[in-house]
Amino acid sequence: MSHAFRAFPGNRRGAADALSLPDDFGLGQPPSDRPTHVAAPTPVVRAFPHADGWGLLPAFTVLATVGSLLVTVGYHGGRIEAPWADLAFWSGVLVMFLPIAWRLALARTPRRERIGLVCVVGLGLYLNKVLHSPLAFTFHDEFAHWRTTNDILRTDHLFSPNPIIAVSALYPSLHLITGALADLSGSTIFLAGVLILAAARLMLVLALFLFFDLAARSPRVAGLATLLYMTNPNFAYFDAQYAYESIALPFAVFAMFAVVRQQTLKDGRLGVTMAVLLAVMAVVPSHHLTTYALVGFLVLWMVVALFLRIAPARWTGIAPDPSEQSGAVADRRDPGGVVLLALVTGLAWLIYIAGLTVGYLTPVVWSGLSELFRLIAGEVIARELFRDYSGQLAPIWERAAGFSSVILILLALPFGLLRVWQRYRTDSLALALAVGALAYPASLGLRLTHFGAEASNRTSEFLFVPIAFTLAVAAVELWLKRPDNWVRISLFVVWATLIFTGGIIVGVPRWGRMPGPYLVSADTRSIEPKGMTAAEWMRTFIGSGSTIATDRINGLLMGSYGGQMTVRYSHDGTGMAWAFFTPTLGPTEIELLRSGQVRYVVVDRRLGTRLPIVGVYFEMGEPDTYSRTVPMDPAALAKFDDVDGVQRLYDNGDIVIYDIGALTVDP
Amino acid sequence: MIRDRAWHHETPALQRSVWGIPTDRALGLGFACAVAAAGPVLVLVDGINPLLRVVLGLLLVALAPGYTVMLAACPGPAIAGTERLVLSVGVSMTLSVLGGLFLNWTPWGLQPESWVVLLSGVTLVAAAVALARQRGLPTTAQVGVRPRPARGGLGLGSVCLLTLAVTIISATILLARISAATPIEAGFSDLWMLPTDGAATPGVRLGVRSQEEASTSYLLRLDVDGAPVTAWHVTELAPGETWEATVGLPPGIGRSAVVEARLYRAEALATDAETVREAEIPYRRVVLRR
Repeated sequence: MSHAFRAFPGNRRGAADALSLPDDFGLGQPPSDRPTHVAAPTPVVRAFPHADGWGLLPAFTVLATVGSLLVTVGYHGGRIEAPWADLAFWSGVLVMFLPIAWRLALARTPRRERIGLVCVVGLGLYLNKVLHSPLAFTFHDEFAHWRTTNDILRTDHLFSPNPIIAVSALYPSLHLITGALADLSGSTIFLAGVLILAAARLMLVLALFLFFDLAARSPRVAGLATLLYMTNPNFAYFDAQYAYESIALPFAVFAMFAVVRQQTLKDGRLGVTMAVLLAVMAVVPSHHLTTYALVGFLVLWMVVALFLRIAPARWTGIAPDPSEQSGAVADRRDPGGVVLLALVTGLAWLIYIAGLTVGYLTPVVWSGLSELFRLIAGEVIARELFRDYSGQLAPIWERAAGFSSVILILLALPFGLLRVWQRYRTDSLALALAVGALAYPASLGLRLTHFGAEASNRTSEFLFVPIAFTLAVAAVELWLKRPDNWVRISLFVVWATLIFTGGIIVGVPRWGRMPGPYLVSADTRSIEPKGMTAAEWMRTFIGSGSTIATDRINGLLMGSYGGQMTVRYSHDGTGMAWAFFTPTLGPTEIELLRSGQVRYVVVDRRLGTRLPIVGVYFEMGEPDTYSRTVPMDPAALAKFDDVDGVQRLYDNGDIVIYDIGALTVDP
Repeated sequence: MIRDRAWHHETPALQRSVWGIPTDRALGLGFACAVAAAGPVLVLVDGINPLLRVVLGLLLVALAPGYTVMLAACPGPAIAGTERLVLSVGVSMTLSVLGGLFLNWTPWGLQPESWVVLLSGVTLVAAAVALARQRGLPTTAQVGVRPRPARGGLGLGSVCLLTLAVTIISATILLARISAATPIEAGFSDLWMLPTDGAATPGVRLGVRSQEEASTSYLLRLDVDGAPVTAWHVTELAPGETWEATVGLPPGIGRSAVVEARLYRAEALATDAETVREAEIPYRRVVLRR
């Protein structure tokens, strides 16, 4: 008799395995240390009708909204530099996360409630990011993608050059959907973007839950894995910003869910197969790294499936003949056709549309790796973690939480890997997830480098899919195996909460997650009215499309709201930044600006007051990149004054706009 | 790996029907068709409530096409509940992306009208196919699937809690917007000067915009080659207000003349424009070198 028919007497349970407990409401895959062949499809008898109930979801939703309110109070405290700002922020975050983690850890929570709970956390964290900047986009990459969307709305076509992030225009999925909504509703890009990303976030969380559910065959594992995925450093802010990865990631997870679901269906395969094709083809024009991560995982899955086919039976416990009842049957499916589709479309897009991507990604990866090798060789010293480039060190508790999150993951990972091998070793998907989790320790080395830290950080949203699965298996099948043991559940919640808070700290430093007064070269904290006014003045009085040279922050504003073409490098790759650092405007600087056909220079006098928080005032490659010890020379910033041929057109106290066309632009 | 749905929980509840179509799907199809039909109205009719436009637009971009396409392609009970929702949203958004790529290559491009034709068209065509396929489906009794007991609706307590949640969220968003709109830096003013290149006689366009915290008075002085030409008392410029003037330059000024405008805050000055000492540091300064 199939376990699918097993009924439990209420919520009490005996010594049965966690996977088959009321968590699954008697509908679970029969658990066994020795994998077995699954029985033929059978109609479901619902032993526990209340399994479909919403449970305590409404109450936990109210708690989460209180969390958002506290976070907003914290943001306000940050703006007025109140000492209680951090307390309010973290209280809100914990009120949102902690009770739901506890509820998801319980074995008796109904599946439907679990789905609701992960949606509440996922959308709640997204809302927290929106509440950080509820009037306009203020995160670095958001300006580049705002520009791409605006260009589409302005021209009714794709692929206008983007001066902020050139490849942004070459991956236009997010901009297309936002543009469609803005076109149809007449709303601003900001509102359309916020709503589209909310829908995408909902899709991400639900698809992730269903994917984990299919992989683990346990809603409890699925709920916890989805929650643990949200502890990745980029989930709360980076992947909630208006940027191409924020739409690509939901598409990729949706594709993975559809691939797995399509394999389990008998009826209705046509529709889900179509969804697979659409999803994979939509990931490719969405984001480069997400495409490569998806292809990488599908290839890994295929290799693992191949391994299961050829590995000796004594390794896997798989019988050579499925009809042989003494052994388990290998999961013989692999995503072969989908891999081919993803590879072909990905390569075609790269070759015919997005060739710039190679030149965009290669320096980042290469700089990081070469610095890592030099670090290993002892030629350079490691980047000091939790210290920004202005010298500010994060509070000790933040450093402790950040380190703890990594250590706690590394400590739990081996148990998860072991359990996956014991439980799922005939399942190519689960094994592939476990193998994927092994990449996490390897990715940590780059965090010690200046140039590779961001690359390492950017892997977490991909690596946490396998990591979350592996950790959730360990939690449910080892630590929480004894149902509703309060001590164990409490310890699990503390463990998950530490990973979560550490993840937020590692992902976004305090100056980035809390609004507040202006800081020099600090991305979101440098976006303020003076820069925005100057950019709008440029567009109104000078017009769009002029070539300008300026710093990192004003480049964002001028390239987006100003509609200008920011020139960052000359033809030979020299950064325009070098023209700003010298005390005088000599022939070398003029020639550099001339080589970029720069017509206007925008100077922000505040650069001479403080060190740059992100390590650069302009771009990587400027003098003293990541190693500056004194602020820019104010005289260097004032050198454009009183030079023959230079017009000082605009002055708002801190930002001055010069027309240098007489020196640099051929008549 | 499992090969059936025995462990899964979303067995559909297909009990009642409208014209041979399960009630929930009939309602869903009707709603999707209504959204699709509203598409042209969104684009062609002015004066629609902005909130309604946003809601309808979002449904047309992120839900309706995928819902009907999935219902047409997967008419059976195997896909239901959360899975159908995810597939509907996912397929809608991917269709918007791929459809947008297609529209980009058409002569019409990505205009509101072309989006409406694409998204409403896909929704309505798929709805027609779904309708035909749904009516041909056997009932749940015929396929041997035991219908799920009707899911209990939300009780009064839950409704109250969710209402409370919506209230808190609304208040939170309002608070966040008020907080973000409150200036945290000191106010400032802009000064600009541009040559009037197209004019018959040489001149300049001058502008002052106040973004100070309160109404502010200024003194603006224009010099050519160091000699005062004219000056203005710009009085009581309110926050957000702009003052502009176009000024002709004295005839016969040299090609290398330096035109300089200096802005002073009136409250910081002890003298009139004519007697502002050269040593006085201007609040703002712009310079044109002809």
